[in-house]
Amino acid sequence: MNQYTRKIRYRDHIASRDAQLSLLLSLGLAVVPHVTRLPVWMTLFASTTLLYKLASIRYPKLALPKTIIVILGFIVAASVSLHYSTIFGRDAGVCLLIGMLFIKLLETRQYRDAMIMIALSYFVILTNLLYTQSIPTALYMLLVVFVITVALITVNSSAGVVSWREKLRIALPLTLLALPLMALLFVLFPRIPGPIWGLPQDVYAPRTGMSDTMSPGTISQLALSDEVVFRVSFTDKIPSKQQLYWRALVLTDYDGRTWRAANSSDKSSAHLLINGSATEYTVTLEPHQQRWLFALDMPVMDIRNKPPAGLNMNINSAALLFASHPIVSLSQYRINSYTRYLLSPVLSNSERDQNLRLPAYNPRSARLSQSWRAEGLNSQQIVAKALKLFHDEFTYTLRPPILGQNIVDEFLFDTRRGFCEHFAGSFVVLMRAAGIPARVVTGYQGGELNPIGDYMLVRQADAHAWAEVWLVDQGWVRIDPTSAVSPLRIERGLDQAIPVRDNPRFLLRNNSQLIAKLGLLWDSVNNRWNGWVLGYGPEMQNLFLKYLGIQNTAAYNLVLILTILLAMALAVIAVISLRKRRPEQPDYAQQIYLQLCKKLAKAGLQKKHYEGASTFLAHIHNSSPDLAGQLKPVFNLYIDLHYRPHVGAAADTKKFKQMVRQLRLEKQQKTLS
Amino acid sequence: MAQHGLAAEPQLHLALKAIISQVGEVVLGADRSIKLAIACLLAKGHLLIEDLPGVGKTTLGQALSKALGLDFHRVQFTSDLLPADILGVSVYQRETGSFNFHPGPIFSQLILADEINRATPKTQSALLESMGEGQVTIEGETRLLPEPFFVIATQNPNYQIGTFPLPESQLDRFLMKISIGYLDNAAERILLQGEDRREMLKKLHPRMTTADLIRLQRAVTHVHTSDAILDYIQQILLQSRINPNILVGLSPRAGLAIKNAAQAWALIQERDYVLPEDIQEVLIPVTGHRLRDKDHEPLSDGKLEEMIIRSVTVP
Repeated sequence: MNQYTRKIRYRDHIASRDAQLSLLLSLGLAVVPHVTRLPVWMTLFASTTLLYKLASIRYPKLALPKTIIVILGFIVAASVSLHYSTIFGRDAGVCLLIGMLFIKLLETRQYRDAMIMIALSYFVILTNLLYTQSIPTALYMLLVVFVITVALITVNSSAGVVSWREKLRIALPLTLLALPLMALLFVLFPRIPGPIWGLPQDVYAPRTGMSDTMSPGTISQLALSDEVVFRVSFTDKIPSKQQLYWRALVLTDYDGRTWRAANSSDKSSAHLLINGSATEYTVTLEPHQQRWLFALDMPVMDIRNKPPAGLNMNINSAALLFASHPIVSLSQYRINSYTRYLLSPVLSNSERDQNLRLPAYNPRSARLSQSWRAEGLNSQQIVAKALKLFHDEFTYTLRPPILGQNIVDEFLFDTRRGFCEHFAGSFVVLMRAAGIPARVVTGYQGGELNPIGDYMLVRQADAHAWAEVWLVDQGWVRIDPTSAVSPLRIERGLDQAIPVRDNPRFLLRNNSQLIAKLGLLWDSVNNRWNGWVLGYGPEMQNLFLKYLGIQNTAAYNLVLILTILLAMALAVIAVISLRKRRPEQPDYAQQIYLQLCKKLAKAGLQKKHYEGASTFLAHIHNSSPDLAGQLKPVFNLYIDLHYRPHVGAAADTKKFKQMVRQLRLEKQQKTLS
Repeated sequence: MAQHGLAAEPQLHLALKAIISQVGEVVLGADRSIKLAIACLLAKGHLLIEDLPGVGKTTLGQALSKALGLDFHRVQFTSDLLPADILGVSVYQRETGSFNFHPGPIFSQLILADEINRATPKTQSALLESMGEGQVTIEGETRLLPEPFFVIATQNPNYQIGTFPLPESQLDRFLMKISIGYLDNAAERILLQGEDRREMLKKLHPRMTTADLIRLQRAVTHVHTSDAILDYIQQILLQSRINPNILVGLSPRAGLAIKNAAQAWALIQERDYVLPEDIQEVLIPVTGHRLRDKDHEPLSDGKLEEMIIRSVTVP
C-alpha cells in the first residue's frame, strides 16, 4: 500500500489551526455563563490560559512541556479544594472541571485531544443547567451546542478542505435534527419525583427574599427588587386587590427591634371555621430555598387537589401553608382559600401570653395605648383609634429615617414616616400594650395581573407586612395599618403609593406602555415555560401520556417505547442520508440546468448522468435535429456559465433561467438510446 | 464553438490545424491518435505508444517532428543497448590530451524510443530519469536537455517474448499511453494505393517554430478550468480510489496529468476553457497505464470507461 490508500490514521494527526481555534471559541462560549459564579482567580486563570493557547497556536514554540502542565493540574486541584474546602458538590465540581478543561487545552495538539475537548465542551455547557433553567439559558445552550458542533466538524476535516460556510451548512441540520430527538426524550424519559435527583447539597444556598424575621428595612429592601416570587392562576374569578393578602409567616416574638416567628413545636392544626364559597387557584412558586408557601387567607387543603409528589404540604395552627422540605426547584400547588372565616375562636392562655408579650422598650407608646384603654374604649374602638392616628398624621415612604433604640416610640412620636414594617410593627406593639393579643404577618400583597395568559404575577416588590388582632367572637382578624396610611398601596400597588422621586428605577417600567406590555408578554412566555417544560414532572407526564393514548406509564414501558421511537428516528435519518448523493452544492446555473434536464426527461430525452452538456446536445441532435437547434443557444449559455471564466454571470444566469422557463417541449417520438 | 482560446494568436491556431491535417495525410486513419500526441506534447508530457509492429508508430513520430520543426532522433532499444548509447560518452582525444563529450541521441527535441521494453531496466531508467528532470548527469556533470523535450516511446504488448515490462513508477512518467490500431478498410486502401510514406515524409515542411511551440505550451496552462471541472476531476480520482476492483487509486500526479491533458485537448479544440467532454476524451489515455485491476493486470479501455467515466456524474 502506498500513500494513496484511503485509511488515514486520524489518531496521530495534529489538529489543524482552524480546529484549535474553533475549539477555543466553543470552550470559551461554554464557560462564559459560569464566570459570575466562579471565583475570580479561576476566571483569571481560564482567560490567561485561553490567551496563552491562542498565542501558542500562532507561535508553536510557546507550547508548555508536559511536566509543567501536570504541575499546573495539581496546583489548580489544590486551589479549588482550598477555596471550597472540598472538590465535590456543584460549585467546587464545576470549578474543578473548568480548571482541568483549560489545562487540557494547553496540551491539546492532536486529533485525539481535540475530540476529548469537544466531548468535554458538550458536558460543560450542560452544567449550566445546575444553576438556571430559564429560556435564555436554554437558547444560549442551543447556540453553544451549535458552535461546538461546528468545531467538531472542523476537527474532523482536513485543514482548508471544507469552507466555513460548508461547515455551518453541515452543523445546522445536525443541530436541528437533534431537536425532535430531544423532544422525544423529554416527553418519554421516565421522571423522578421531586427535585433533580442527586442534586449536590450546595444548591440549597439561601437567596434574597422574604426572611423569617422582620425589622425596620427588611421589607423596604425587598421593595426594590423586580424579581418574580410566584405566579398564580385562578380557576374562576380573580378576587379584588384588597383581598389579595398572600400570607407566608406569622411573627409573634419581639425583642424591641426584630420580629421573629415563635419557635414552637406546635404540630396542632388550625382551628378554622369557614363560610361561603372557596377561591381556587394554582401557585407556581420560584425556588426560594425556604419551607413556607404562599396562600390567601385562609387556605384549606382539599383532598381532591392532591399536591405534587415531593411537595408535602401542611397547614399549621396559624393557618399557614408549609412544605416538608425547602423549595429548591420550581414547584406548583393548587389550593382553596375562604375569605370568610373564623380562625381560632378560642385562644389558649399560653397563646394569649405569647401574643401579648412586650420587651421593656417604647414606654411612650405603651402609655398612649394604655390611656386609650383608660378612656374605657373597647378593643374594636382601640383598633380604630390606632388606625385613625396612622391615617391622620403619618407618611408612607420607601425611605424612612433611621431609628434609634426605642423604635416604636421614635416612629410614633417623632419621625412619623415609615414603610409597612414600621406600621405593622408599631401597630402590634400598641395593641399588645392595650392588652389586645396581636401579631405581625408577613407575605405579599396584591400582584400584577398579566392579561396575556390571564394570571397574577407577584414580585418581591409586593412584599408586605400587616397585623392580626385577636378579638372575642371574631378570632384572628386581619388589620392592615398601611391601608390606613396609604390606601393606594393596597388598591393600586406600590408604584402608585409612593412619590415619584422615591421611585426606584424599576418602578418606571409602568410609565412606558410598550415596555410594560413587552415585560408582561415575556413573563407570560416564562409562565408557559415553567408550566409545560420545567413543571413536566411525573404527574404531568402521566396525564400527557394518557392523553396520547399510552396507558402503561411504568418506567420500563416508557424506555421500551422510547427505544422503538429512537430506532425509528435513526432509521429515517439513515434512509435520508444514505440515499444516492446528489452532486454536491450545485451552483445556481447548474440547478437550472438540472431543471432543464428534468424537462427534457419528461419529453423522453433522458440525459445519462455521465454525459456532459455538449455530448447530451449531440445525442439530442441525432434523434431530433430541429429540437437540438432550438436547444443549442440554451445549452451554449449553460456551458458558458458553468465552464467559462465569465463576466456578468448574474445577468446571464437570469437569462438562462428565463430561457429554460419559456421552453415548451412536446413529447418526443424517438427517445435517446 | 466560439474562438476565444487563441483569439490573440490566430495564426498559431491555423498552424496547429495544418500540422494535424499534414500528419494525418501521412499517418492515415489515426486523427485521434495524432491529436492526442499533439495534446501530449502541448501539455509538456511524454507519450507511450503501445501497439504491434507495423501500424505506423515510427511514422507518426517522424511526421510530428517534421511538421513541428523539431530535431529528431530515433533510438532502437535492444537488450544489449547501454545507457551511454543514449546519453552520450566522453572520448579521450589524443591531440588535446583531454576527454571530449560526444552527446548521445537524447540531446534532441524529439526522441523516438522504439520498443523501449526490449532494453534492460538499467537502460530504460537512463532514459526515463532524463524525462522527469529535463536534464541528464553524465560522469558527474549535469547537462541541460533542449527545450521542448518530447519523448515518444513505443512498446510491444507485454506478452511478447524478450521484453522487460516498465515498472509502474516509470510508467507514471508518461502523460499518456495510446495505441494506433489497425486501419479501417478505406484508409487501408488509400495506404495501399498511395505513394510511399517515406517519400511523403520528406515532403513535409515545418509549420511552426520552436518559439511558437513554447508559446502554445504556455497557453495550455492558461486554459480555464472551472470549479465544476475541478470537482469532476476530484470525483474521478475518488472513484478510482474507492472502486474495489482497482488495485491502487490514481495519484495526485495523475490528477494533475488529467487536468493538463484536458487543457491541451481543449486548446486543440480551439477553446480557452475545459469541458467535461475534454476530460472524458483524455481520461483513458492518461489513466490507462496507471491503473491495474486487483489481479495486477492492466485494465481494458472498455472496463476503464465503465469503471470511471460512467460511474461519475458530470457536474
